[in-house]
Formats: sequence, structure tokens, C-alpha cells
Amino acid sequence: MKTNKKDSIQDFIDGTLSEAEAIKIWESIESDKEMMREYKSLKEVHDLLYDIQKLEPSAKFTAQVMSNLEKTGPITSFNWHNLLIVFGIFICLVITSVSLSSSSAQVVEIPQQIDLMNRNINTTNLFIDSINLNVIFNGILFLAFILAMLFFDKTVLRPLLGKRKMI
Amino acid sequence: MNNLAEENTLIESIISGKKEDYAILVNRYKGFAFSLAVRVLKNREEAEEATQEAFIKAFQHLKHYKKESKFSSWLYRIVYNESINQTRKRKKTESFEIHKFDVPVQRKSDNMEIKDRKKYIDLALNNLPEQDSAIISLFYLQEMNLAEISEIMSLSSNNVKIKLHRARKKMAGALHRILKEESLTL
Repeated sequence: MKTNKKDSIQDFIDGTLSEAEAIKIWESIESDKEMMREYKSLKEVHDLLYDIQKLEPSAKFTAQVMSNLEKTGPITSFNWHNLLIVFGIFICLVITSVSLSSSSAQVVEIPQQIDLMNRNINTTNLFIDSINLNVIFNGILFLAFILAMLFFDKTVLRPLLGKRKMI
Repeated sequence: MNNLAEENTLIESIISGKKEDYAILVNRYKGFAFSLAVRVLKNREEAEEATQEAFIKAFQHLKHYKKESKFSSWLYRIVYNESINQTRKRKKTESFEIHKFDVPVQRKSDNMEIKDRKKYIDLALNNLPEQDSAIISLFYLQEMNLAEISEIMSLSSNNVKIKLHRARKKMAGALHRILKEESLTL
């Protein structure tokens, strides 16, 4: 028996097939003993499953929940994730603006007057010349931009697109 | 006023400070929520704990509930996640083999107590993996459609359908095996 036919039996039981498809699959079930056995077995389970009983928690359940609620604070819409993102943006911007305000510190020179010859170090392979602080500032600004985008996504885009999805 | 509107009014009143109104929601949904947790955890005590935790979490995040969807779906999602978290914690501390479709060991001593087919189905259901068991519970007990279940379990509708079909087949196999064993022991 093909797998899709077996799946169709379940779709037939669930009532998700069109009328024409349902008639077709029922004819297949009636004409094939194996399919009929499969159908009976699954239909039996399907019917029995509707008898699953709702279970009830202990009698003191609601009282316990309500007493635990007393221990919790009031309902809040405060979101720690958003606060952390805003804080991250703020820190990045502060660092960048403080650093940029001191224009004399644009480039940090790495001293090269180290007595390397006497220490037997091959100076031709030495790479470091200087560190350009502009690169660091740009990096921090880029990080702030990413965090701002993340914040925008969380607070504006997701709620908006979520609403559209619900509609 | 329809159910959804009535529920939203109730939620608004809870958010505005009438904490005691939350008891109405707890009483309304505790049975289904607990049943779902039992199907996942297969243990009443743990399920009760998880359900309580879920109700508390739902209360704390009530402001984040989007009123366009059903409150029950939102709540069951929290219950399901809480129950799954509990099973993960449990699996860390013990090796727990419930995914096999072998008939449980203690079943033989229970033979005489099993009186009807509902109990057999319960037995077979308890042997399902937690995710399949939850799908069965939501589909048959809560009578939710595939789209609602997919929302609760963060799965696609097609995935839920495949899992439901597979679970039903496993149930049929397990039921057949249990009944066969029963007829041999009686």
C-alpha cells in the first residue's frame, strides 16, 4: 500500500478531504482488504481518543495559584531586553562622542624606539605601526547602529508585522 | 458580549489591578491546562507544578498578551513550554525512557484494574513521546484545529498534521499490542 494512500485514510478520518477525494479514497478502502484493516484500526483509535477525559488538578489548585500571585509584584509591561539594548546604544554613543571630542587623540602611535636589535628579534617581520582610533570609533558607531536596528525591530517592526499576520 | 470580548474585558480589569479576577481565568482553564501538562509530563504532581508555574507566568506577562488571538491558545503555549522545560530538567537528572512502545513494566500488576478500553487508550497515550501526546490532547480534548496547535507548539501546520498522523498510527500499534498482551494474560 502506498504511503500517500495511508495518509489519505487519516485525512479521510479527519474529514479534511474534498467530497470527490473522500469518495475516491472510500472506494479504495472498500476494495482493498489491507486498507480496510488500516482504516478500521485508525478509526477505532480516532473514536476512542474523543473519550480522553479532561483531568482536574487538586481542589486547592486555584487557591495556591492566587496565593502565589500575592507574592509576585504587580503586572508590568517593563521589558529588560529593551532596556539593555537602549543602555548599549547609550554607552556606545557616549564612548564615541567623548573620544571624538578630543581631536588630538585621533591616532595613537606605537613607540618604535625599542631596542630590538640587541634582543635578536627580526624587525622586518614586525607589523605594528599604529592604531587608528577612527576605525575603533567607526566600529563602536556601527555597533550602536546594529543595536538601534535591533531595538527598532523589537519595538516597531515585530508588533506591526505580528498584527498584520493575525489579520 | 461574546466570549472573546468578555475575556478581554476580564483581562483588562486584571491588568488594571483587580488581581482577584484572575481566579475566574484560572478556574476556566485549569482543567485543560492541567490535562495538557499531564500528557507531556506523564506525572500528576509535576504537571500540577508546571501548570501553576504557567498560570503565574501568564499573569506576570498578561500585558504582552495580544488580544487578537485566543487567551486559551496563548495560555496553553505557556503551559506547553513550561512542561517541556520540566521534562528537560528531569532528563538531566535521570535517564527517562518513555519513547519506547514497549508495554510498561508495572502494567502486569495493573491488569486486573484495567476495566475498559478508555484505560487502554490512556495507557497507550502515556507511552507516546511528549510532543505527540500534547498534539493528541490539543486535537481531541481541546478540539483545536491544526493551525491553533501549530501556534501553540511553534510548528508548521503540516508538521503538526504529520505528527498527528504518526501519533495515531503509533497509538493503533500500541493499543493492538496491549490488547494482545491482555488476552494472553487473562
